Amino acid sequence: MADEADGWLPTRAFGRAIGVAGVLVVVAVLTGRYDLVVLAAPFALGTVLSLRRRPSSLPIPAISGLDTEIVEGDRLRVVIGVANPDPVGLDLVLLRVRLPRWVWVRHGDHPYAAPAAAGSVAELEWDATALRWGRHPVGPVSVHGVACDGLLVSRPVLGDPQPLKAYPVTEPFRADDAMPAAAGLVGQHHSRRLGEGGELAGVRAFAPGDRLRRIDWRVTLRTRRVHVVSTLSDRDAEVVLLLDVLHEAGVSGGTGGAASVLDTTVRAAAAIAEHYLHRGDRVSMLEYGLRARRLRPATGRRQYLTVLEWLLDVRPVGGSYEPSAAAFGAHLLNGNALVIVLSPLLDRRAAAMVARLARAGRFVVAVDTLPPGLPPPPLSGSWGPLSYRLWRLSRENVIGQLREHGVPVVGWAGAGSLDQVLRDVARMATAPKSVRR
Amino acid sequence: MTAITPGGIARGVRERIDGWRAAAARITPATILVRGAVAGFGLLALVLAYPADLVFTPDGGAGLAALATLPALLPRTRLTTVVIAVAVLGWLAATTAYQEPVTVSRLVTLACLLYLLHTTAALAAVLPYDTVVSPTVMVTWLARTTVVLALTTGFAVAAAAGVRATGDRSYLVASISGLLLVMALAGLLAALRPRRT
Repeated sequence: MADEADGWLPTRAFGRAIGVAGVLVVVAVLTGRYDLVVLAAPFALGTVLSLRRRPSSLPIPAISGLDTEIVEGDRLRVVIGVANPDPVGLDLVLLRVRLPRWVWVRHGDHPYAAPAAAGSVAELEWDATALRWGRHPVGPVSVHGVACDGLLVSRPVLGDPQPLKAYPVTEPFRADDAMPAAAGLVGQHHSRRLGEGGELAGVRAFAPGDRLRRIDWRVTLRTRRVHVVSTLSDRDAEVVLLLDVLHEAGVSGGTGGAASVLDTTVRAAAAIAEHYLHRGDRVSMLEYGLRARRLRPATGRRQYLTVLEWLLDVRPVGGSYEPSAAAFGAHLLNGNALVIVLSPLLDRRAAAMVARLARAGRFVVAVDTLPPGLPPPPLSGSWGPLSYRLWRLSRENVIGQLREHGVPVVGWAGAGSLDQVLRDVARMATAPKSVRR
Repeated sequence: MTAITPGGIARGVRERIDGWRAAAARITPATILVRGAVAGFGLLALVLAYPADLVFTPDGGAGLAALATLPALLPRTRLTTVVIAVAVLGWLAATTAYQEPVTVSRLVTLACLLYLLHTTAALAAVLPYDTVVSPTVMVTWLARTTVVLALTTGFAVAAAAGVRATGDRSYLVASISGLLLVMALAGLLAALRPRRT
């Protein structure tokens, strides 16, 4: 029979051809009927012709032509190639590709049958669309070879999956330059301190140490005393994006569809990070969950790309235990940093963490990432709607308590979402305060 | 252990019907063509093999049609072998009990139809019902089949000529030609035996 060590196995058709031909010939010889030999002839001749040359090596599948780094919603080209290194051609190769949930291909969930001539590569080209951010490995691809008119079939051969990164779409975001505290020496935020900068602070009398190029000649001539222009120094700031990943809520519809909590969280984080990094600020990332992932503060385009890479691995990692206090204590955050917490505020642990940061004197802004049109869960019984309303009231109560702690809570709405609350935080930062450490 | 309730049964039936509907929506034209060919070749072979008195009755025709569709629906089972065996039995019945003559044209056509049934069932067996099939696959498969059918026709004509030449000694032709086929098959099986190093 076929050599199973090669990976080729006989099919039921092989047994049928041999069996029908053999039985008919035996009966024909026993009964002396030549017509039965004629009926057996195509089975015997067909089998001999089909098996006179049989393959000894297996087809080799591979996925190529994949744009491995794209933005969600982008189209990409996927080429699946199956090489037939054998000098014998195959009738067909039957291939299936395991596609991730968020990569859409028309008829991608169907198996494909393609010819594979000797020493050639059969290629299948797909136009795919990445529907959601994240890591989406395409594959593995499984291939069966069929040879000798369907009398032999190969064992399945698997091709390695190919990694695909779909970065989140950065929603349009901007914020005015209200920053509660600037920390560095250079940047685009006007500090409350006088120094070298572009923003006019006032005109004052010349003092020893002032630079001559800062003399305001118009005022000097009018007052007959030397006056200089004083400016506010420009500083940079540190922004900490704290992502609450304890829970996922809502159903993600990918790009163009409904957004889940994590969709809003990730896209908003990408937009905010892009905005502040573009302005020269330092941005760090922190996950509020059991994994406690952290990205050190840095600035520039390199940090933006790192942030996007970091966001790909965001996933809900909740649990019944309180996340480690050492990972989220206020002592880990720069005192001048602006902490933007992206949270659906579904868990009291997250609300308590935000309140603790505010009590420790950090400048905290909470962005509510719960989708506004989130439908109530399918609750049965007459108490279901009532319990849902009670839950909504309880959540509004938590938000009210956070506001009493001085934490502005604002829903994410893209561009300008944070302008008002950032102004409030900046105003509060100038007021005297007592801090419990 | 969950209790069986009428509501549960109805839900199960609904889910099963939905599953069938979803599977039917995934069927591709190429697989319909291949399986339709299996049913068509099977029906033609049965109609040709059986005596006309049996075929052209309501029960006989319906029975043969139902039998012919089975390999198309379940090509990976032994039903194809069963249909071939039933056709051969019908041929034996027609040429013995019903005294119908063995003509070369009818014999060649039946042999070709049986082989077409066999090879299209082999193709249908390796193609899941929702496969997207390249047209090249179908064309090359058909071309290879045509070669076998041509050889079969030549073999049948030669065998019939041999019978005519030997008079009533058709058993001699059957023995010689059968021996040739058995030798070819034996040689093939010997060649396919795993080589030991």
